[in-house]
Amino acid sequence: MNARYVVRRLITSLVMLWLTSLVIFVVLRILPGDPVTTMLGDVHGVDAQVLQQTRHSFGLDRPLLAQYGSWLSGLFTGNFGRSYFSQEPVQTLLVPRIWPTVELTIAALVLALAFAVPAAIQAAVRPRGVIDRVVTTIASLGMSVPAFLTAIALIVVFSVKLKLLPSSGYVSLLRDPGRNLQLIAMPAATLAFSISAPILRFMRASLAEATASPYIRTAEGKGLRWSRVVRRHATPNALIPTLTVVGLTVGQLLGGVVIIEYIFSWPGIGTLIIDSVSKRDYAVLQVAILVAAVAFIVTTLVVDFLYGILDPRLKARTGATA
Amino acid sequence: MIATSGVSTKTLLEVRDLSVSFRANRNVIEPVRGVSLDLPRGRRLGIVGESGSGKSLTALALMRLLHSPARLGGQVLLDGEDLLTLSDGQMAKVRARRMSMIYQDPMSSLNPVFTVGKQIIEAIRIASDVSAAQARSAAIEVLGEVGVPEPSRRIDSYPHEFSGGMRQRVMIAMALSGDVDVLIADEPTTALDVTTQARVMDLLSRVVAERGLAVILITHDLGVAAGFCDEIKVMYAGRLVESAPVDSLYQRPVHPYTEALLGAICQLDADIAQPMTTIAGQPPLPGALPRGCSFHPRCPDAVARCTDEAPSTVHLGPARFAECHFALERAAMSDALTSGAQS
Amino acid sequence: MTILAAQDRAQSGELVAVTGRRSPLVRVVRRPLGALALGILVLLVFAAIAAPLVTHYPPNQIAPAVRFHGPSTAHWFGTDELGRDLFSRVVYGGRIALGIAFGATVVAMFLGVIWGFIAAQARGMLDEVLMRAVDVIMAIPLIMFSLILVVALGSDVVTLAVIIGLLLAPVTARVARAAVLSELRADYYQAAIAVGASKPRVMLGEVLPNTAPVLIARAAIVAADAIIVEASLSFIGLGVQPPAASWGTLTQQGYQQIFRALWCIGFPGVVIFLAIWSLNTVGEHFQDTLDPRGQR
Repeated sequence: MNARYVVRRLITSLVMLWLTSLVIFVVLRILPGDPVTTMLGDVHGVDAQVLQQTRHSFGLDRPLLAQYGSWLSGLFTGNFGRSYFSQEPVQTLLVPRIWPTVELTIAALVLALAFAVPAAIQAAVRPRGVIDRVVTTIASLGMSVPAFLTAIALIVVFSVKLKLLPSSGYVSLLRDPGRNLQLIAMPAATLAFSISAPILRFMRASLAEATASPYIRTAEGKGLRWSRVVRRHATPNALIPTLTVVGLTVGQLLGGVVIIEYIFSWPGIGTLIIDSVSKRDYAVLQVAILVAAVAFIVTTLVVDFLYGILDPRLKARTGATA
Repeated sequence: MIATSGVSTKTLLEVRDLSVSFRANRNVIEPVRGVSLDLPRGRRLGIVGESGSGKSLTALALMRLLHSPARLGGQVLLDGEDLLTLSDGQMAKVRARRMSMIYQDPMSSLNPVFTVGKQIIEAIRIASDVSAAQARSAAIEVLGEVGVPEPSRRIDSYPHEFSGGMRQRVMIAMALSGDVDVLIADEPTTALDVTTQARVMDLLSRVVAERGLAVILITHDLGVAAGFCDEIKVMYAGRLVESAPVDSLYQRPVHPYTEALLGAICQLDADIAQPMTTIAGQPPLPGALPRGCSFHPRCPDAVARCTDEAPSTVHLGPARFAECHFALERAAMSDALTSGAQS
Repeated sequence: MTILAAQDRAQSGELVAVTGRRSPLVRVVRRPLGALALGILVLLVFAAIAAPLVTHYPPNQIAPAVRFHGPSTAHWFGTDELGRDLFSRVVYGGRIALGIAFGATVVAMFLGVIWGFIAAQARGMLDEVLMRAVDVIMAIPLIMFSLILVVALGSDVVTLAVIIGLLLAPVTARVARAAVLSELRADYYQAAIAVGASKPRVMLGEVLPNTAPVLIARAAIVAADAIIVEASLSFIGLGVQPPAASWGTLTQQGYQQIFRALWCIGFPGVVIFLAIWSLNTVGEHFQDTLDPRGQR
């Protein structure tokens, strides 16, 4: 992994980030739906003067580019603006919600990988066997059931019928780990189910390709048993491209997290976004969505770098000494 | 060539009527049909043929590296034990300790994400119970033996950091890790340039001699086979159509196909005004074999009988046979010509 | 390979020039699962189109006397909290859900294919710019983007279809671009150009038809995604608004009744699943021979 490659990728990501912030900002500003009118309620009863003043106080009457400029520079200095609704700094609204969302995302990812990777490997050890069939069916289902339906199904089974798990709420991991686990179980499982399908599919296909490669025949020819051949030789080769899919699913996760947090009343960025959306609180929205986009772009960056580190062939191509 | 049972040179590997078949939709395709051979200890056997003759499949079948949907028939007796009846676990042990194989494409036959050392050490530790340290020094030693320079450093290199010839040496090193008795080499030099080819074949010759290995060399290159093998079998359309000691084959070929192959060898002193000799036509696909003798559409000496009746194996001497209706006559002619030329 | 280039591969599959002469539709029907999926799809579409013929009761007819009746011969899917026949509501809901999905697919395919084709043709700077635009739009999670667009532009049926279509266009552009590029690399194209055929003629006459199966398969997947997005939005109340009721809205209403009448959410949920599954399956089978990574 040489410096030039790293720098190049970093610059590309930064440009992407900048462009994304531009898109978010512009989309929110040029769309109809004036935050001011929402704030003040019924427009007809309000004095035009008051409207104008409110607009001015939020800087909404300045040219678009100027608004964007001050927002962007504000971001760098740590000033994320103030909520149109509550006048609170956006930070105080946003920061406490970051960890719950991160926690949920990580839990879902871990669950999905813990299920999908071993399942795909086992399916490759015994193609067309029982596990292979079961696993492909689950994958197929996972892609066809929207996350909110899975969530409801889990709630019906575990909260309504069995009364085992609570269906809403949040408690910090530090304060009460047991309860935290109880509360995170269903939302994490729901998200995990949605994203394990593409991971499973891809890993399975990747393994199929790897096991058809000549070096697998060499490994078997050395006297290794087939299960060992798959686990030791095919899996590392199959995992590397699967990284890409995992990176992509983070994007899917961030989308799904919005709906799932809403259903389970999980106090993360998703619920903040839904709240802000109905109130048209653009100040909050633009930062929250930017945060999500940043998370995604950073993830893809990390995956690219991991790729470079893990694959010995790429290490050479990107400039490391042989 | 029937092995006389027991006695001093006990046949190490006996293949009886080996067949490989696939079921495609409703048809059955048999790319390898009834191959039989005997391999005594220390013998170097060559199997030559065009692409598609089934020679690589035969090699893979011997090692049982062909999986479903391929189905194997016949017997493969290693020291009297039929490999085709062994369990997967038992066969794995055979591959580790008694038979090994090197493959034709060194580029893709080594795992790209593991160092060369790791892969050789893995082979060593499968074959015998040694510590990691012992395995590592054994690996360095065998790398040196196959001619890899600076083995203690290169042992930690990745396959893509080696040239094609070096990779093939690594493969040979890996194949020699267990104390095997039989080495199957599937077109080991096809992917290499001519000079590297020669060096790798020299290396192979040396290590085989040092360890007294029995070798089956699969190749389409008659020159390579001539330089290495004691005995040659010619394969066409899934069957062995001729077998002879190497000198007999090259000087007194019997089967029309062998004759044609030898005739098609490019002579450096040939008249360049004349077109190069080729064998007319294409080898048949396993699913569409001609009736009767499978070579008859391309045979310059074919007669009506060749279309109707498949020839049986005709034994022509202690180590020779050919599958042709006119084998005896052709052998007699061939011998007469040679002795005539010699006198 | 950057993750974004790999996205290309992951989503469009390893495309191979189509050499099979057999109609892809036959491929779908030949496998039992494909035939089943196609059958379900046809059934759903038929029910949606012929809704008045298939249902007994108007979907919004309130009948307090028969509230919370379970499934029966009179009411196949039971009734909801206002006594409305759930079967009718699901069928009419299908009109909206499938209608939006269809509209979104048309928008996404139209935009995406043109986008992708231009990029593939242009190469160089224009290609780079167009594909960067795709990357930037896709950096924002789909649901979030749809939320802000819906809230700003409105949630009537047509607007929803257009919004969802717009958001699904970038991915389609990627697939279309990859499809065209693989055709441009194929021998027949190089040969045609070498022989002197005019580029537009080859593009329209041969490249376009050759990419058709991949694009049709993609359209099915886009439709499935559209159903998911619309249902999710309607479920949280930001999609189709009452009194109109899509399947998503029905699940939202049904969710209120999970303690007393599970069928209120059960049936709409199952139907949503069937619609998505059948579209995904038909799409995959259509593409099957072209994409060895997709199916086993």
